This record gives sequence, structure tokens and C-alpha cells, in this order.
Amino acid sequence: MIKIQNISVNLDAFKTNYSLNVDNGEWIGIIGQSGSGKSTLLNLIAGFIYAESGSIRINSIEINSIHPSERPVSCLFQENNLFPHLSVYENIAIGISPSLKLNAGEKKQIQDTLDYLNLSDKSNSDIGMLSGGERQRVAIGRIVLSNKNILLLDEPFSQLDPNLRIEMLNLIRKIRDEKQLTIIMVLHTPIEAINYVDRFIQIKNGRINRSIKPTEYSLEIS
Amino acid sequence: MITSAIIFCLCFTSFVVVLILGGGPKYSIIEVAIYYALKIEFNIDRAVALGIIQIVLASVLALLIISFTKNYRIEPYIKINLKIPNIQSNNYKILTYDIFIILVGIAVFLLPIIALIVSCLKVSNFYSLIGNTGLLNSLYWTIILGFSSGILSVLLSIMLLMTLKILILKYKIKWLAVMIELSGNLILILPPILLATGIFLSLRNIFNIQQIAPYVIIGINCLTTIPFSIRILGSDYIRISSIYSRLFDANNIRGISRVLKYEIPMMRSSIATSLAISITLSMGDLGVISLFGSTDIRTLPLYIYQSLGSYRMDNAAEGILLLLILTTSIIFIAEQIFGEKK
Repeated sequence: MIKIQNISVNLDAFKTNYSLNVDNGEWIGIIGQSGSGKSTLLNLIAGFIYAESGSIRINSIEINSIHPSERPVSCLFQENNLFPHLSVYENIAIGISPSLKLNAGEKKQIQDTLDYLNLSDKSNSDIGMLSGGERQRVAIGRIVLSNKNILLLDEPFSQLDPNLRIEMLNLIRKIRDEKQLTIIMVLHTPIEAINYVDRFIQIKNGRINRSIKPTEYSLEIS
Repeated sequence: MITSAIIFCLCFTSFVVVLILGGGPKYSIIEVAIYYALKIEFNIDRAVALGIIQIVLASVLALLIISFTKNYRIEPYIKINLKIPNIQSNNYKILTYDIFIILVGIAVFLLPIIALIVSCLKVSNFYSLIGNTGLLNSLYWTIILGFSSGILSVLLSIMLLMTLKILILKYKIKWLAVMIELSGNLILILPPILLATGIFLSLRNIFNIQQIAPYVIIGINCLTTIPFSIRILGSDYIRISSIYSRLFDANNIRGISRVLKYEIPMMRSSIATSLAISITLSMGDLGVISLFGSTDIRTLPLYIYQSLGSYRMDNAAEGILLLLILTTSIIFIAEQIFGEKK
């Protein structure tokens, strides 16, 4: 369980104050206006920025001062998820070995992940040769390999076309079901995620404004 | 602002142009006067006095630059917003004017080079190049000294940038980062010839100057090219560090592995450009080599200068042609082989 209590950080426009509980295996969709502090919440959980006060506990362990790589959290961003000078294979390999020194078992794991994501034929391709959807699949491959049980998604599919976005959400759901992941996802088009998330959290001026069930949300917008 | 300061400093320290084209003592500059005092008159007191005057001037200039760049900020990455003018179909006048200006610019740049190549080809005989040991010896030293200073300059610039990155992104001490970056640019204010003079005077009683000359030349030329290397590498390095910082942190990519396997390969193109410019600038140096050079250690620019001075125009033309081929090849190789992947 993720337990966030009064974590605050000073932004240019306001000071945040988040409090939130997320159950294991839950899929949360974060909504809110641009600049309301959605990505800041993910950055705090991931450890890319440190909270000035408050606490973040994952399964009762305080993680606020732990380095991002040691947190049980993996992330997927809108862009810059891959290193352009590395091949598809190497970008996925980073998930288990950042130094890219791999033993036989690790090589087998990477090959299995490539097969799972239908990327085997692109294994040695340059990142620049891939489509937007393929790039995000490679980044998902790295996340699958890293074996962390919390997944933070910061509008990762907003640059893809609508059909591809749904395809990606289906892939994420499949991985979530197989690996029992907890997901917190910042959404660009919340309507598309209604059938995927367990609830929406609305953020306004760095605070959690309210929690909405997907059914309530679809009623509101209709 | 910092860019205009660099351009001003380059003009302020235009030793080579004045040495070759200067119209005698009446139109000399302090650096050339120092050179004559040391190399021709061997008047050390005069060289020291002139050096002090240049240091005072340079310090005033440094203070002015620092005061003008008080609010200077190193941006994580540079955004260039180019506004393309909307050229109307009836706006032929402006279009013609633009084309004319561009053609004049190209002519000013290209015509002297074409004239130089033509005159070199006229007087040069490729068979005579092989037999000219003086020329080949100069070519050897040009390559050795140019490559050594260029590589050293890029390495030091990367190390300086790493320090800047840690200060800016990790410790948020921007003022110290700015001071370190400005220190890298100090050589623009403190002319290489002055630095060479200082080293010459300090070491002449301790070492045999001829023996340590190559190391001194490499060191000073390396310092001279650091400001350019930092400019070329800087924005790329800070941009990469900035946009991939979350990916680096999330995947525990740090230390020497991060530098060698991630940052440097991603900077391949700017490193190639920076290396090519540093090497060619060092190869083209006439300031430091004129002070420390000898008949044994002589680069192509010094060979050309000495040939011109003794009216051996054929030799000078051969030297110019060789230097032109060498520098052009380096730039071409850097762009084509190590440059951005298409």
C-alpha cells in the first residue's frame, strides 16, 4: 500500500500538499489542469524531487530519503524514455543491468521480453527507426524487466494516435494483471481510461481535490 | 552578452594578424611588442613591463565582463526560435537584396581561399614536397602538437562541464558554476603570448626551453581552445544531463559507466566538432610557436611565416597548401565519420 501524508514541495506558483492512500494492485488515474501539480506528485513518489515535509510510505517503509533506483517504482514518461544511441535490445537490458554486462540468464530474460512485446525482429534496430508506439513498447519492456511492483505513468501515450493509445492501455492492463502492479497514471485524455482505472484523483493547485469513480466521472462529462 | 564578450576578446588578442600584416612599430599592439622584445631585442625588462601593462588592461576587461554578465545563466538547454519571414510573391526587391547580401558574403569568404589555392597550385610541385625535409618536419610537428592540444582541450572541457553540471543540477550553486565557466574563458582576456612569455621567463633558468617546448606549446594551445570547446560541448552536455536525468536516476546509471556508456556516446557529434575545431585552431597557432619554436620544432604556420619573411614564396605556398588540406580533411573527417548519424 502507498500511503502519502502531507508531502509538500515549493513550486513557482504554489506549495503542494498531497495526502493519498493507494491500495496494492489499484490503478489510479490522475486528472487536473495543466500546471496543477500532477507530474510533481509522480516525481515525489519516484524520488526525482524530494519532499520538504511529510511522508511517503510503501508497505509501511518510509521512502522519502531513498534514491529513485532503490524505490520499488518504475516510470514511463511522455518522452525521453529511451537512450537514442542504444539499440532496442540494450534499452530493454538497462532494466536489469545498467552497465549492460549481461549473463546468460539475463540474456534469456531480455529475449523473452522482446518476444512478449512482439519486438524480436526489432532487437538490433536503432531507436530512431521505430514508430512512437514501438518506442513506448521498448520502454515498457524495460519496466517489465525491472520487476518493480509500482508503475508511474506520466502521460506516456499522449503523443500516439487514439487507436494506439487504447492498444497501449490494453497492454498495460495485461502486464498489470500478470504482475499484480499498482499503477498511478497521469492522464491527458481521461475519457479513454474510464474502462481501465479503478478511480480518478483530481488535483488542483498542488492538492488532491477529490476522488471520483470512473462511472461517476463518465456521468459528469455526459 | 557572453558571446559578444568572447568576440571582443578575440579581437583584443589579435596577435597573429598584427604580426603578419602589421605596419611596423607605429601600428603594433602590446602582444607583438612583447614578442619583439623577447625574440628580436631580447630585452627581458621591456617584455616584463609590457606584460604588466597587458595584464592591467586584461584585468579591467575581465572586471567589465564579469559586471556585465552578473545575471548570466547557464540554461539547461538552448531553445532557438527562428521566425521565418513570410515572403510575399510581390516582395522581389527584398528577396533580391537578400540574395545579393548572401552572394557578397560568400564571395568575401570564398574568393581569397580560391585565389590562395590557385596560386599555391601554380608554384607548388608535389615532387618537391617529398624532398623538402623542412616542410615535412613542420607537418610532423603540426600534427603532433595540434592533435595533442586538441584532444587535451576536449578532455579538460568535458571535465570542466561535469563540474559545472554537478554544481548547477545537484548543488544548485549557479554563481560558482558561472565563475568556473568564466575561468575557462580567461585565456581570451589573458593572451596566449602573454602566458607563453610568463612561462618562458619562469622556466628559462630551470629547464632547457627547447626540451620542454612541445609540452608548453600543447598546454597553452589547449588552454586557448578550451573556451571554444566549452561553447560547443556545453549546451549539448547540459541538455543531455537535464532531459535524461530521470532515466539515469531511475535506472541507477551513475559514475564512470554513465559518462563512458551514455553521456559521451550521446555527445558524439558535438565532441567530433569540438575536437576538429580545437585541433585545427591549435594547428593554425602562430603566437606560442613563434616564441617557443626553433629550427627543430616548427609547425606549418611558423614555416610559412619564416618562408614569407625570407621571400621564399614557393615554400610558403607549399606550406599553405599543406595546411589547408590538413585542416579541411580534419573538419571533413569529423563531420562525415564522427558527426550526427543521418
